[in-house]
Amino acid sequence: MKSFVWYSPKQFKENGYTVPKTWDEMTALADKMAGNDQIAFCGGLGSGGATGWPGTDWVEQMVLREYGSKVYADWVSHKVKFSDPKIKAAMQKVADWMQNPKWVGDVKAIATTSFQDAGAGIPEGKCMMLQQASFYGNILADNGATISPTGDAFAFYLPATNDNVTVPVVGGGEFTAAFSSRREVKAVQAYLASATFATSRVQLDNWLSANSGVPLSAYKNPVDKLAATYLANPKSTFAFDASDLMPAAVGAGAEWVEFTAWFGEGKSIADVTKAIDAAWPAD
Amino acid sequence: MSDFITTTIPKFTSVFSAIFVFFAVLAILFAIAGRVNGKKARPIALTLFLGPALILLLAGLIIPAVRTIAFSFMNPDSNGWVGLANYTWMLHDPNVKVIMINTTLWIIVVPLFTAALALLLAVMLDRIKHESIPKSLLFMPMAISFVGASIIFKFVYEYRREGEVQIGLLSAIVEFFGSTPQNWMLSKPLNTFLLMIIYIWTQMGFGMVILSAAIKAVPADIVEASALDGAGGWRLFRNITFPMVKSTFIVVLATGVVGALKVFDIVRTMTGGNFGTNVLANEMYSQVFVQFNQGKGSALAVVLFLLVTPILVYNIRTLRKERTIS
Amino acid sequence: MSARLANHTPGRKIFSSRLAALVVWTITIIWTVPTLGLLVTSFKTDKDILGQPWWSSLLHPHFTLENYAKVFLGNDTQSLNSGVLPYFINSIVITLPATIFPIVIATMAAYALAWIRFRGSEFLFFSIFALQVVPLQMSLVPLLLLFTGGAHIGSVTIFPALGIAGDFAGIWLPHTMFALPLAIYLLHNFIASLPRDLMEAAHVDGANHFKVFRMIVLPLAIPGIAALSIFQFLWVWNDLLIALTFASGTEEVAPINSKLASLVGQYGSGYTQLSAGAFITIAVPLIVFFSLQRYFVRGLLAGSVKS
Repeated sequence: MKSFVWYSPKQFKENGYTVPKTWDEMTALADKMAGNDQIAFCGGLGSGGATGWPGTDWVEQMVLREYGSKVYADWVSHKVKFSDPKIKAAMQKVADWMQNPKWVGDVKAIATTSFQDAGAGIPEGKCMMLQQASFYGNILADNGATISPTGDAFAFYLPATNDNVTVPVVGGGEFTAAFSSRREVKAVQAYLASATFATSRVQLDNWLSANSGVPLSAYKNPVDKLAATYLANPKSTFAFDASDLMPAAVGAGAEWVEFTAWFGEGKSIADVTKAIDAAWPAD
Repeated sequence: MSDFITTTIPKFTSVFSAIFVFFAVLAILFAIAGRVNGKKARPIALTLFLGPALILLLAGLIIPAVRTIAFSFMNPDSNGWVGLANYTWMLHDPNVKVIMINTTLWIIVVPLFTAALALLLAVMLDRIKHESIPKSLLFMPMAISFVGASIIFKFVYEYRREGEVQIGLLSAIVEFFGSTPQNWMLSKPLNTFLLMIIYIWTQMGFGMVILSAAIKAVPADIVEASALDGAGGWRLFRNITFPMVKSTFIVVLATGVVGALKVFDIVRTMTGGNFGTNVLANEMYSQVFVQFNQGKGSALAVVLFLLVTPILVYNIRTLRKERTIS
Repeated sequence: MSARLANHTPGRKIFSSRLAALVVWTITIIWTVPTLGLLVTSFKTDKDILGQPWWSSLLHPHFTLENYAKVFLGNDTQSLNSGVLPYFINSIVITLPATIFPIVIATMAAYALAWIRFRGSEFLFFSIFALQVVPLQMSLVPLLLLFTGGAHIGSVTIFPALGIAGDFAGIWLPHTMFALPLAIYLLHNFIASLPRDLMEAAHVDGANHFKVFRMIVLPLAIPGIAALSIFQFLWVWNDLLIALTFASGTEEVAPINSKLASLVGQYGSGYTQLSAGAFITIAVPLIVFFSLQRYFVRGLLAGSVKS
């Protein structure tokens, strides 16, 4: 589940901030933080050979929030190109947010900061919010932060930007794939898709299921529990991670490279989208 | 604890059984073949001594290299021919242009700088006491992997935004001298040179050690004779020392070119090939193993091979000359 | 050289040796400081690493072994498999055979090329020598395909699918293959320079090639073999490309160097454990290097300097 913003409940309490419920509340909060000389959003694209992937998440969040599932699906299949005004507008929205020097400080540094280090300062209030997936809690916990609604770090849902798309949620995930249609294989597949499996897997921790048959009490970890409420919500507009669905030449190639250049070298949205479209495989 | 033991023991059993089987098979073959006498003895010995190496070279290097050339004319999944498309892509793609420029820079700057510094140190080392201590310390990075070296230099090139404490050595030095540190990995084209420094740091010791040995091999009487003639430091070096170690110097240069061409670990770990630092070997890896395009990846590998060919030809010519002399 | 020159030009010698000492020691310090920085960093606490540069930590020492414990053993106290320990073991498991196999095979081939006369031996030697510069990148993909699918011409299988991709054998084999050209070349230089009389005497005494190889060549070639083994050991331990390609990055087979690379990469946990992880990785080659440096240098010289 990727539609989360990490923050520090302790820092929020100290500063008298409240968790924003809408996009406008979030931007207003960010302005307030900027007014207090705080860095509102941290960000990091650095990830070794995969540098750039967090940027794809931000754009995905925005495409889904602005236009909903239909456009999102067409974008994944390249019926809507990157250079389409809609996608460009979504990217501009990302730029207004994560490339706003008032909120993020040094924009270019986002490209060279590793995504792991990006949020390391949240518990101490070096920066206040970081858009990252649910797994990010493990990284913060590794650095010694307590993850709870009153602790050093916790997550809130990244608000929708308008009312047209209800509860937009972007997520990654696993598939079960069968290499044979034998009966026992199908039985295993059915089991893997069942609430029974999902519940027992969830109880092992660090795993999320969209299966509505999984009781929320099965989740040990409060972040996963929160994530599960959004995944299992029937009103949710769920979209699978677009860069994972696009051809590798784009989703694991041009998109990473170009988004990194967009942040790190100030490459324009027009040039970035043009280059990604050019990298889309011909057939 | 128990899961560790249950996963570790089989690993070691597999190692020791593999080594045991390897030597057992060799011993048995040697014993059997050793009994053959007469006309067949030589061909059998030849097959046994040379056969394993030739099969492995054929399967591991020669056949794969030929297949890579074939793949470079095929589509991403290597199941259809695309003609020269993967090569024309290289000519037109703006990112590949950057890659080619960087790779060229790497194979010019790195070998020259490495060899020159190695030679300077080799000459200087010859004139000091306790040379073995600095020699081992200078040679030490050779034992460190490129990944390890990159991490070492991550802590040198680390940059924090202005106002924060600079924990990177380079930033701190720049700040100490009253200048403003930059986000080093973003500063084009400086970043490429900063990556080269990592490579030079690991490889310089190699050149220094062999050049130092070559300098020590210069006959003492020649040096003495020219010193008697009044040749001073620089002239002695230019007229006597350098000509005597020139062939070793070229070996160091050639090793540097081949090494710099293949460099990929450093770029991958430091920048992931971003910010205009990408090089051929890294792009080849990304194409094949991240973007699953065997066609483009193979074409890049072929270009890599073409670039080392002149060195190959040069090496063979030198070797032939040496062999006819000795 | 300085001693020899001293008799003739004492003044210049003193000057140049002081200048030389200054240059050498300055560069040596520059060369060593980065590694020292990593070493110091690896003993700092999490918060200290980002909050304070390592050189000022030297003035206010506050060191801990916690990073090493965490990296080595992982966060899960129940299992020793959650840290880098399994990868460290994998590195040993990969490195031993990947050092022994190519050296043995190369020694045999080098002997054949040097001391068994046959037509085309010269050509073969040059070809093997030439293979040294073939970039590894040229063979990776086809070799991986060979391991998983074998090689076929039409429906005739000329090479069976070995099914060893992602297995230790699937890493030993490429390392063995790729090491051969350089190993054969260097060992050939070494073995070919053994005294001819010795070989001929043995043959006159009725020893066959196998006996000569075992009783004469192997014992005499030990220094060369030792040198090359160190070289190959360092190479395999430090390799990333083959590890990434042939060992899928899992704790079952992947070596520590590729684990280290992934600590920097997509799935890592940032700076805090990186320094300790890096030091664990480079400790083994450094120990090998410093204790066996003498032999290592000799090996490099055997191939590169002709006297």
